[in-house]
Amino acid sequence: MRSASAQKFWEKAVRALARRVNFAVWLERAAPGFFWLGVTAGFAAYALRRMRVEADGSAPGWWLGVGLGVLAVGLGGWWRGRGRFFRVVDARGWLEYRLGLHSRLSAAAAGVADWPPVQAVPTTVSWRAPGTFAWLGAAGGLALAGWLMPVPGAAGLEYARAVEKSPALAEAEAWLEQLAEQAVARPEDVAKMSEQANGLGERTPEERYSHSGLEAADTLRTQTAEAIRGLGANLEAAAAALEPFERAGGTRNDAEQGAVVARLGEALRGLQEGPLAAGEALQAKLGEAAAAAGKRSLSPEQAAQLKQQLARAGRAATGVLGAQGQGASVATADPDAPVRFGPGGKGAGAGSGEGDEVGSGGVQRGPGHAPLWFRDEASTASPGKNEAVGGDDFGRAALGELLAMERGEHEFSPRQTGAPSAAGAVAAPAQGGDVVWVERLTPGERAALKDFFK
Amino acid sequence: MAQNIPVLNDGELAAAQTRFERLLAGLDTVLFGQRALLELVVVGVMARGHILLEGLPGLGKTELVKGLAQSLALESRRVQFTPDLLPGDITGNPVLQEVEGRRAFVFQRGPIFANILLADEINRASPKTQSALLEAMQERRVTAGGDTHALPDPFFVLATQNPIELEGTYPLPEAQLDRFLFKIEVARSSSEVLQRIVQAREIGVSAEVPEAMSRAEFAELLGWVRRVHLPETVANYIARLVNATHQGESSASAGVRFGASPRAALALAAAAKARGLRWGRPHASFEDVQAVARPVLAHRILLDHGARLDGATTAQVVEKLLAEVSVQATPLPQSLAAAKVR
Repeated sequence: MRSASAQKFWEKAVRALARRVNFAVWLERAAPGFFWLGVTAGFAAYALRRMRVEADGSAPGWWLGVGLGVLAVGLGGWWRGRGRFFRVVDARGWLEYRLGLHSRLSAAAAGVADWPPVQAVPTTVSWRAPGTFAWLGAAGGLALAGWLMPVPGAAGLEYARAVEKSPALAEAEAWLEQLAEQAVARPEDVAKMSEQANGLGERTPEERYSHSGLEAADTLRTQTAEAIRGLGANLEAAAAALEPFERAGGTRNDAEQGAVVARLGEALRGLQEGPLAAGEALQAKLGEAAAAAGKRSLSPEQAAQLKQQLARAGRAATGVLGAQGQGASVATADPDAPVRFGPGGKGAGAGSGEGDEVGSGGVQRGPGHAPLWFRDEASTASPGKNEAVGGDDFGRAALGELLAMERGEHEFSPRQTGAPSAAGAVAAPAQGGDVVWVERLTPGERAALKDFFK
Repeated sequence: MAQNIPVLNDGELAAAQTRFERLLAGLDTVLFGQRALLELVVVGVMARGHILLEGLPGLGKTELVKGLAQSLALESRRVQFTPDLLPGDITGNPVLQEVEGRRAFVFQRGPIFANILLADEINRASPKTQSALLEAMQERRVTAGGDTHALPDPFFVLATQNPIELEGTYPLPEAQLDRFLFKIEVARSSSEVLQRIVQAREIGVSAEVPEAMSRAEFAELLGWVRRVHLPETVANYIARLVNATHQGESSASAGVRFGASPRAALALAAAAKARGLRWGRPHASFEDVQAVARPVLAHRILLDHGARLDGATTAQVVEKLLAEVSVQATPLPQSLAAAKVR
């Protein structure tokens, strides 16, 4: 009488309908939560990427957070929708009504009637509210945006970050490197200075290009240069002190002998002291020479040979500095030509210029030269002459730096003269007076005035 | 309690449907082309309810009631209600008589002591007389002179009223209206039906209606109606539907001053069960409730003045309620809609 298979079929259909409706209820209630979760996840992903923290599968904490968020939102959706979930009786009532079964399923469930024969059960509910999916789509879009949106300075965008060392620091490091190769200075002293340079170089780009960072690099460069110059001068002084010993020792009386030996001793002390001492080998040779000189046993040949070594070392040391001090200057031969900034000046050194020439601005800041120039730019935004900065490469321009100053003048038309006219004709070619201003109004200003005088 | 009622078997269902069909076929010879009206009347009678028929004169209301009485082999009486009609003229009066040498009041039964009372133009009687029917309709008994007299079983009041003549009429009080299971509006017939009436009927000659079932069969049928199962979901639907007639319970009840009473819910359930049996089902359904909702609820709802001024009717309110109240207790979420199935 009662078909078990029919009962199973209809009960399954009823449960499926209840599940579908309850899923819709849950989704509807959880959708706003998923939206905020997506917003939070998107912002968190972006912030983590900004902070160079990997927000991907390699960070279990990230996935744990996302999972907990989904779980919390899911539970919240269930909690909010718990009073609106379809029970089995609701689903049964809906299904039998929509299928025109005249409550036969309810009656069969109560044991009053037979279960209806198995039949194809069409879909009785359909999705209609795009609002729910809009919440979810927005959530997914925001999360993806946080994940995929380019981060300034991240991989692929390094060009935007100036990571080079400042010129002063790079120069100082180059000097120290060459000095170490020349082996004219004590390695410990060179290493100590190199360590200072490395300390500056290991700073973040922001710190490196801060004012204090640039000042520190410039100071280091100056100190390094002075130390190298001092070493060179000491070596040349030592070489000069050996000059009297190229002659035979018997030609000098005791007073002269004492003076040249004392001078040689001072030169030796000079090579042993100071921020940069001479190399151990040179010091040793000079020490032996000084000792032999005191005993009048230093032969002229030995003195000449040592003098040559010291002079060579001195030249090598000062040669390390090379053509330091070249600054930028402005070359403005043609007053109408664009003002161009770039290399080619004859600045004598850091922060100085010669005569009318402009130096580089003191501290050697910035990653290099920025060839920029002024140019005219027609605009109706304001009267007068508009000047814009042009250039082939703005990537290396240090904004905020004073490039140059020019005297701006308003444009006027002496030819446009005539009888005075009524007020308000400002948009027309100017009239009245010997020299009149050519008014330039924005379209908005023009419209406002037009309305005012209408 | 309802769970202990034995379920109707297939034989009983088939017999019930046959009797219904016979009854309707007989009535169809009295009132042509009013099948929907006949269905409602029959369902109302099977639900043991009183019926108020409202319509213009000459539409066959009285003929229908007479035909129903003939079909069911029931005793029927007709009372033409007039303004000077007294309660005793309907219920009966104690009459002073000599009984065994002593004078005593003997209750003389009125026309109400019948199975079917046809109260013609009931709104012409005074409220006092109308209220005499209250006890009879609800309790199925009459109290006169301190004695209570039971009315025959079954007992139905089938009343008619004319909606166009207002002078000298007394609108039925709400309490009495509530005692009518159905209030049915009788509409005029189409020209085709009129042609059938002209060809088949003659003035002054009443239609002969064959007996559809015996009194015993009719009593058995009434018993079967009580055994029709009312599923929990359908009962819940009836409860929500009646509750929604009250102001503030639904948007459809915006202009309602007073909603339907619990008696209306009982009436809906009884009528739905009778209709379920009429279609051979051992249970009532949502569709049965919806089919009888308008005649059950419309006369039990009282609109406020604003709604009346706006031209709203109680029938419109019921239609809106049916559209608003879902069959299942929990409404569908907003993200889902009913798909087209049929």
